[in-house]
Amino acid sequence: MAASVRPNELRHLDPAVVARIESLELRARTVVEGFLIGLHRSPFQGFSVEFSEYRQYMPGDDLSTLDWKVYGRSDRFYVKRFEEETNLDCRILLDVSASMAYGSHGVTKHAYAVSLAASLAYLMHRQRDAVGLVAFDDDIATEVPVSGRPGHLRRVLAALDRLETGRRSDVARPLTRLAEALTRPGLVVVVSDLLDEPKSVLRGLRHLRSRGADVIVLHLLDPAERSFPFRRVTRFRDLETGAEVRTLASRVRAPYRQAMDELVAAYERDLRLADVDYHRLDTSKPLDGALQSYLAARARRP
Amino acid sequence: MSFLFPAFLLGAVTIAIPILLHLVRRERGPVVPFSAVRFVRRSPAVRTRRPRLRELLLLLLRVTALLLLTLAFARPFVDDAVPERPITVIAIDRSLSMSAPGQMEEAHRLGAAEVDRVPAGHRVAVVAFDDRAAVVLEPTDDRAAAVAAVESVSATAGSTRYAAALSSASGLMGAEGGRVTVVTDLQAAGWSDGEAAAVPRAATVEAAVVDPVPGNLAVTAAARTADGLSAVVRNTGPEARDALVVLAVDDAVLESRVVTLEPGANGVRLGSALPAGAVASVEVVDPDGYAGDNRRYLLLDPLPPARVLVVANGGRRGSDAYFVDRALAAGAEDAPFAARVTEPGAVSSLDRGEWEAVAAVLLLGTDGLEREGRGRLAAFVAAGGGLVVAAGRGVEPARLAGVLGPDARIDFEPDAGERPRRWVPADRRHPVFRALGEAAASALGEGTFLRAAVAGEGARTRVLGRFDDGTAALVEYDLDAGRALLFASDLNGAGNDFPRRPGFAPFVVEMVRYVARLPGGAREVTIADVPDGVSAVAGAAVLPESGRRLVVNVDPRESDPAPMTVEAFLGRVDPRTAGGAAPDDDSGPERREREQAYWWYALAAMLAVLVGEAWVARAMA
Repeated sequence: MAASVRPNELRHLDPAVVARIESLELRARTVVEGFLIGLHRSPFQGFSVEFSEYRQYMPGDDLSTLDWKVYGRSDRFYVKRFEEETNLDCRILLDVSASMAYGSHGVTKHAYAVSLAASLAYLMHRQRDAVGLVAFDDDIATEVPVSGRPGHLRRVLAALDRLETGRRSDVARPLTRLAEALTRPGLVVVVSDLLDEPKSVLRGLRHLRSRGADVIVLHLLDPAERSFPFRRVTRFRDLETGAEVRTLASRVRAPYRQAMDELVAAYERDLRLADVDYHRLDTSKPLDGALQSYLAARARRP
Repeated sequence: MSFLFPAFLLGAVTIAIPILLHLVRRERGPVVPFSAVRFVRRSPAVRTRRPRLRELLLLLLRVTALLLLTLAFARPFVDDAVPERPITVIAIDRSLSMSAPGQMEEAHRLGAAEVDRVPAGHRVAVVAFDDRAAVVLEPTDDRAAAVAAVESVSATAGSTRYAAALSSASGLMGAEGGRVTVVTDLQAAGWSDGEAAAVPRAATVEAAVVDPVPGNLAVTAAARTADGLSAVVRNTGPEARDALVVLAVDDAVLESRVVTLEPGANGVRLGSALPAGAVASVEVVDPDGYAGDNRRYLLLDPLPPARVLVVANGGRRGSDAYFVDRALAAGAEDAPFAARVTEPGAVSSLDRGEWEAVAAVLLLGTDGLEREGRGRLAAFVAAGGGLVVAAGRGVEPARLAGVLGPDARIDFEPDAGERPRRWVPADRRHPVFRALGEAAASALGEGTFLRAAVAGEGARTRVLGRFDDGTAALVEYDLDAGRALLFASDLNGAGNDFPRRPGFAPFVVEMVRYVARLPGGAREVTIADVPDGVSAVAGAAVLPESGRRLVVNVDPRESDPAPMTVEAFLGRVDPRTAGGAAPDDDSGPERREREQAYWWYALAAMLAVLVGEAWVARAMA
């Protein structure tokens, strides 16, 4: 399933490079086009909906795909690949809680998530899928309904552009509300740092899953959140609550990392059991992993 | 706890610096907005108090280090000295010149009166002295005990030495000073020529005078003559007196007759044929004068020669030992020497018997004196032998290492350049010079010295004579057993003309006699100079080491009751700045602090605290 992207193309997907592009649409296009260029050169092919071709009929081909006009002109059987049109509803659930404002290397998780959401929306639109956006912290902050109409992408991108990090996160609540409002199952992409109680997160995701939606969880983590590189006496101010914890960081590192590893491992294990596609994304790494996860999920759809 | 430099304790205010820094610049740590704070908070290692405690520990260590540094600079010491109060010392003269009838009773009365005069707040101490001083009563507030101590003092046959009394009193008073009352007959002979006694500047010295006897008869000398015995009987009174003079041999009276004694010295010839090997005594009957000086003893048996080993470069063939050999040969007829001149290299070849017969060694050269020879010399001195070193060019200092044992060494540097100088005795009461007599001792200054070694002076050396440039000329080493003298020039005339001077031969003889512990020219010693093992009582005695006989007589100068004035007496008292018995006495806080050296421990503790501080700081980093 893994697609290989060559290093020279990776440059276009580097979060730091992408983040410097002012226009979110251009940012999304850059990411997606760069990603697709990489895909075309890779063995992972067959999802380009605008690509059509003729090839000679081979026994076993669907007869409905024969182009009879060509047969009338040339007396030969050719198979025509039509541009594919879908009605898949894709919803991007973007966590805009205050904890997403953290970034240790020039790119915050929020900026990374916005770029990622924009890229996904762009790619979905290009796939002729209907795209919707839900931004949430402890409740739904912004919602753009699902639509596949032309011009809808711009609404989504404009909504993304306006997003700011908000309050405390409560993943379960907006997920539950969304699940209850879901009338047509589709694809739900959750972009969040999941710094919430795992049980409530799982409960919300299971709720979504129970409504028939395919769920992809893109778990964003800043590299500093994994490695905890602090050493001296440091006052850590909670981005969501404002509470401070003053401690000797070097003493805390080992138990912190252990707790964080346990959290990630718990998500990996429990989400796999809940049939939820889980991807952990390092915000210092390119966005292609997230795009691939969407395409892989898209491929599984009938 | 006291401090030598308490002003440095002001440095303790520097502890305010780390405290202020701690309060003002306490490391609060940078603020880091963070997303996963709940995992930080959840960590069992997060105890925000811990850094705070560590900071407090750091502060404590830094403050402690500063306090310890301050403490070290202030030089602490435990002042265990009892706070001193002034002392009144009553020094009672108990010499022979206080032994006339009624004199000691008068001294007791004066002493008791002085006890009554002791100022309130003063402690009182009692010292009895003749040529030595003894503390009869340590400083006390008990006046009755002081009176009893005064009355316990009785007269001896010793000679008077005021310096001994004042030195002892100064030692009791210390730097704090006090009063010294000397109860004495003010005998003029109690001061040697040029002698003075140092007392603390804060001390006052007074004299309570016991009346001297108006006249005293004493036998001051006795010598054997070809036809009998010649004695000198001194009459210190203003008028001629008839007195009975008795000659006895081994306590048997040979002759007694009444002699008219004119004022001054009177020669008296007694006896005829005197038996050899006996002890003769001449006595003058004087019930009114001092009892102790009425009889004088004389040894009639001839002395065996004392063996002296002269170690000189070249031995007898060389010329280094010539003058010394001649001087020893010319020694007193009744106290001859048998000098054996040998090369330094031959010292080690002397067998045990030969060493036992040696009374003294005169070391004039060290060429070829190897380790074994030095070891033999060291063993000889350690066994009580006498050694005289003439530090001429023939003596190499390095070859004398260990000659006086491992702890003591003969210390001098070779010739300090040629310049003419003379030397004089520094302590004329030393047995060497006392035996010479005033005239001969004065004659020692006639020699001119062009070359002389520089002798080291220290705690265990005593300078007996000095050159006129102040350097030591004759040094005695304070040894446990033997006696050793260093003469800071040669004795062969190479660097001086001393051997050609009249004082040379008697000086060499007396040096050898002293280090060899031989009796004096008449085989007699004064009571003040009795050797170890001989009681300080006039009469015949036997040297316990050699079994040889000698006689002990009183110091003839003590027989002259001629007093001096109180002013003359006090004129010899030398108030010095420093307290105690010696001008350089070091008994104050400096010495206690130096001995205790607590500052060193404070400094070491400070370094340890700094190491701990560095460790804690590193752990916090």
